[in-house]
Amino acid sequence: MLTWHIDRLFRSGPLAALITFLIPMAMAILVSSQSDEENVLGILLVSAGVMFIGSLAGSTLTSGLGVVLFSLGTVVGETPVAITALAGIGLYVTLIIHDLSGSFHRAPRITSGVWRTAAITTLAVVVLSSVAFSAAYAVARLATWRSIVVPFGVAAIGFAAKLAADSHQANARQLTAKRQPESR
Amino acid sequence: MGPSDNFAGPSTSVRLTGDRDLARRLPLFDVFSLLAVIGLSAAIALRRPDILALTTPFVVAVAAALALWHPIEGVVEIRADRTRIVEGEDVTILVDVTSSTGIGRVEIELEPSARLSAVGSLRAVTTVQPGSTATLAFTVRAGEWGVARINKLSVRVSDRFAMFGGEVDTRADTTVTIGLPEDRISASLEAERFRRIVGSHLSNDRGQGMEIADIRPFQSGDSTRNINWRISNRRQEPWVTLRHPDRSTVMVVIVDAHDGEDDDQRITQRRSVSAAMALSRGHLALHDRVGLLVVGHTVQWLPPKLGRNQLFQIADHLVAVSNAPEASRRMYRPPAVSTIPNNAIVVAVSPLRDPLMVALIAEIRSRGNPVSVLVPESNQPASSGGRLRVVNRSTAQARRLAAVEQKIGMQSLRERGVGIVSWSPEEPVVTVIDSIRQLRLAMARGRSW
Repeated sequence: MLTWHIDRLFRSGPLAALITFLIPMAMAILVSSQSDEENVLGILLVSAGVMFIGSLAGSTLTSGLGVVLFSLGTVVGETPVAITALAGIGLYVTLIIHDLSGSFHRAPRITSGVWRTAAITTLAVVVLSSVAFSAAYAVARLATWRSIVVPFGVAAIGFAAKLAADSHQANARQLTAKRQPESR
Repeated sequence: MGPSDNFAGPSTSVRLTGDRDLARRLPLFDVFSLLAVIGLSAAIALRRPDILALTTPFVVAVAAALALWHPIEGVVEIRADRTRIVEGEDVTILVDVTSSTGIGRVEIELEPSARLSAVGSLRAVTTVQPGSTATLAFTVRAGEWGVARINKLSVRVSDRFAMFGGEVDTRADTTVTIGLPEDRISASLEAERFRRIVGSHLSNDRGQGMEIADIRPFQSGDSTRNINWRISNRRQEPWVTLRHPDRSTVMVVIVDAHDGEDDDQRITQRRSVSAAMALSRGHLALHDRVGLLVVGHTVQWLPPKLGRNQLFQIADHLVAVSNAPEASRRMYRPPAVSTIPNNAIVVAVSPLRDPLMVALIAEIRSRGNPVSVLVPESNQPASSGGRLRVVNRSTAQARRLAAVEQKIGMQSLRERGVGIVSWSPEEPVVTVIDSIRQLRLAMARGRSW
């Protein structure tokens, strides 16, 4: 029954897109309330608007820029770590709903499995990211580790990204290569 | 197999296995990767570990998507639950998605031809568990009679993280035959009802039977059992009675697949097909052999046969008339009239506007076949909605010439002994079939004397 209600609410792409504005707006109010800096709310609301426009236009890049802007506002606001973590989770959920709104335009029929898969995946990512952040934050606050990790970390990020992209490209080519005639 | 109406026709399968187009990076992967890199870089460069809180979900999502990625593997099959319907009926299009490895998200979209209209949404989003099949049902409604199909089937797939996937578009071979409402093939062929309307008909052949065909002087080779003693006594010479054999007849229905460009001509074409279908159904119910000749841009010939299967074949050919290219560009080879059996009764349904059709009917008549022509009359052009139709002079002259040509053709056929029955739009099919029967009987009496 709940799935039916969720389905009816989210079936229309624009409705789902509206959610991508409401969630960042709510987070903006939360972050602003915990921040002592001025004009933070303005930055956050503008970024929420950018994310909403990206959802309506179907542009993931635009929504991504909105997320960058929101993150900048959060960093400038110097909010507590827990609120920042909550904002990060909210931004991730917003982009996931943005992606779903693209699938939901022109009111298709949606099976319950779609909601279940999206919910389970999102929950798993949130839990894993919370655990990962907790570990990373604890390590990063150690002064000794910080001075060692910084130069290696910068190099490692770029290298890891290149490795991941190359690996996926190679796997994709290998696994989707056309078979030889003899093997049929 | 159950009733013919519920027979599921051929299905179209689309294999998703090994398709490189389905292993592409989606925009979400690029954006998440960008956010992850920017966040990590900013956290390290600014020495602000709290920035990691914003970026960690994106890092984890990208890492998980890369680690759990596997090629999309599956089969999408589309079929219709019925292949024969009539105008206004609904048909369910079933799409089965099967995958042994599972698919995170599948979007299916159908694009039907103009003869099918959507009832509800023709888009659906689902997920496929490993080793299972997800079935989606779409309902479409039949519009104008003819052969309808699903023009395009779009399949968009992505993994559960929505970061890798792609799209495949294919044309489905699933076709649905839309018949006219009165041509319900599933209805029982009520022989008795049809017999009451058209009466028992007689074969052209002469042989052993009950019905008297002719009485003539005794000739060498005649059986003495056929001597009519009463007449022979009166004439003082032997006379024999010839009778029609007790067996079914052969009928050939000829349909003129004339132009169907404007509304009036499409209505005439529809009536022609409806009459041909009614004639075929009725005579097959009487266990006659019925053949079909469709004359238009191409020639389609069905030899006379018995049975329900022949009725289906006739229905398929008649429905295909609506999909035929414009008959105004006729360049067909004249059909070999020798393929029409000599003993066949021929009923043609044609407005007789085409001289080629008139010539064909005349040729068939010249071979000795009894021929009747049913001429569907069209509605007179009238003003619609209070507006006058503006017709230029050359068009009006062309119409007058065509009308004169039609009258000349009809007169020449009448002189050859072809029975012509005009069918006005208000008259039902059953009544005009009865008119044909009466005309044939009258002509038969005229020939016997």
